[in-house]
Amino acid sequence: MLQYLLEYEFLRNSFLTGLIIGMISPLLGVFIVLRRQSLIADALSHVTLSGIAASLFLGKLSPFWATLNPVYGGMIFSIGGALLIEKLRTVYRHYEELAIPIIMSFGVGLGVVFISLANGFNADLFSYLFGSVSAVSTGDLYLIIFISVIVLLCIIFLFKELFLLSFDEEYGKVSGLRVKTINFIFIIMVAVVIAISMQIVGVLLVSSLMTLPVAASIRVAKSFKGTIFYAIFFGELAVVGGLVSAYYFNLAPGGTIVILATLILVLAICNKQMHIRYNKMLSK
Amino acid sequence: MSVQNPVIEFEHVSYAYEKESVLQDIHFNILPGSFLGVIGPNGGGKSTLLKLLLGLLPLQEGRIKIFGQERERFRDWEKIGYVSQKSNAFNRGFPATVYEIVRSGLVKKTGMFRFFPKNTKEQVTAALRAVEMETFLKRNISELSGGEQQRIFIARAIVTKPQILILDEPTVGVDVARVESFIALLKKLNQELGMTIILVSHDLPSLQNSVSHILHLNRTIVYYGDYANYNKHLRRQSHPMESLGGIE
Repeated sequence: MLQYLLEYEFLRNSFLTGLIIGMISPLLGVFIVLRRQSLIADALSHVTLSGIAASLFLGKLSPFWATLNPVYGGMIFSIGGALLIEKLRTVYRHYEELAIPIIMSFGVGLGVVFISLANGFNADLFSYLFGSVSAVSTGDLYLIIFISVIVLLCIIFLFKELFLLSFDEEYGKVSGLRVKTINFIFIIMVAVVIAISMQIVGVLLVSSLMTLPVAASIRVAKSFKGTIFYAIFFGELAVVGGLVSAYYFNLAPGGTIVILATLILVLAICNKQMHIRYNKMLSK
Repeated sequence: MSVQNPVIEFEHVSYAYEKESVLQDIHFNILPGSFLGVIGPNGGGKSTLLKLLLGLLPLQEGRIKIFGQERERFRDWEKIGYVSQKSNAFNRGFPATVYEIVRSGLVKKTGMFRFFPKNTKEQVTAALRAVEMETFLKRNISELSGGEQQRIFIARAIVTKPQILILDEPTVGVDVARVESFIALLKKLNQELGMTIILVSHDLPSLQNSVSHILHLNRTIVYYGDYANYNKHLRRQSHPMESLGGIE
């Protein structure tokens, strides 16, 4: 495969994109999972799908829209969905979790309408739904690198604030943190990372890369930094293994990545239970 | 003789949730070095009083001053340590060490977009030493008992060396023996470090040998003054047991 990676640009692009999202998705995922917002990624991925369908529909109407990358449409819808979720949270203060299913349903509904307007599914839409190793152009790769660097810098400089808000949001407010601003930056980061990840993993499976490696790392790590380290390690393992398997067995990369991530999670759960049993045996 | 300026002033503060009045004309001052126990029945306004003081609720009527500054203009939040009621109900599966939790108390002092200072470990260790938990630095927070976790949350609150420590029902869910040692720890912080302490509690008996002042709230101030005179005040009431029965 290494020879083909050097030879074919599309394979190189997919592999590099996979490495980047294998790091950035679980990194953001740690904060999403620990803030108990795992479903937010699902809701935003469905909104992203409607943005892509809207772009493909507009592409049929005018040649100008056809030249634009549908990823941008997905990104705009994803950011719009993220902002609406934040707004709905303040409207339903006692039922904050309600914001996510509302936006998810709206995203699916809108997506279905745009898909029917664009005369149903085509190869393009399928590649965004399930991921594709040939979907990433060099232009896409540059966009993904640019966004990932910005997200990474934001996380580095806001790390202590994001940690505090994940653990105890009220304490963050009492500490004088600009909670609304930080939450706003955070949800925008989630929205754009979902939009850039979908080309490899696919819209329907993008949230799994933000949750499965984190679910496994929580079982293994003892500290917050350890959780981040393991989440990224498991994410990269699933992405690299998934892409290689998808290439050799001609499978959808999104599916293979998610299956590998699930296998890692099962191993992490078994490992923890074996540790507990071993410690019990020692104590006897 | 020098006159001490109050660290906290409530001036005719009233607050209502929609149409239901929770606090009416609350007016009192807290002097530096006090150990104030805030007691009263459920719905008597204890938590609302703290939320107003900490800026978690907007002021509707009256004024609150912190170190002589209007609450709205007050920015030196590192001078105030806070242990919330929710500390009892935090995510117990949260993967963080004691060091990481206590260090997060320094966020307010460090400022946004900045890294923790170089002497962070020394500051965290000093805070843990004050609550007699310095050997727990690398332990996972979820491995500790309820009483030990509460000490860690106090360490987080005092890591900035605040002048005021506010605690909202910190002993809920902690067994009696640990409550006593917990109150003794607060007394030590009050007497040895001169920290002003405001403790909201439902457990009046455990406070009796520690607090210097009592604020008994039931939407209005039922009593505010020295703890020593509180019992005399109760005896003067026509139905003292009824009044005590209301205290949780």
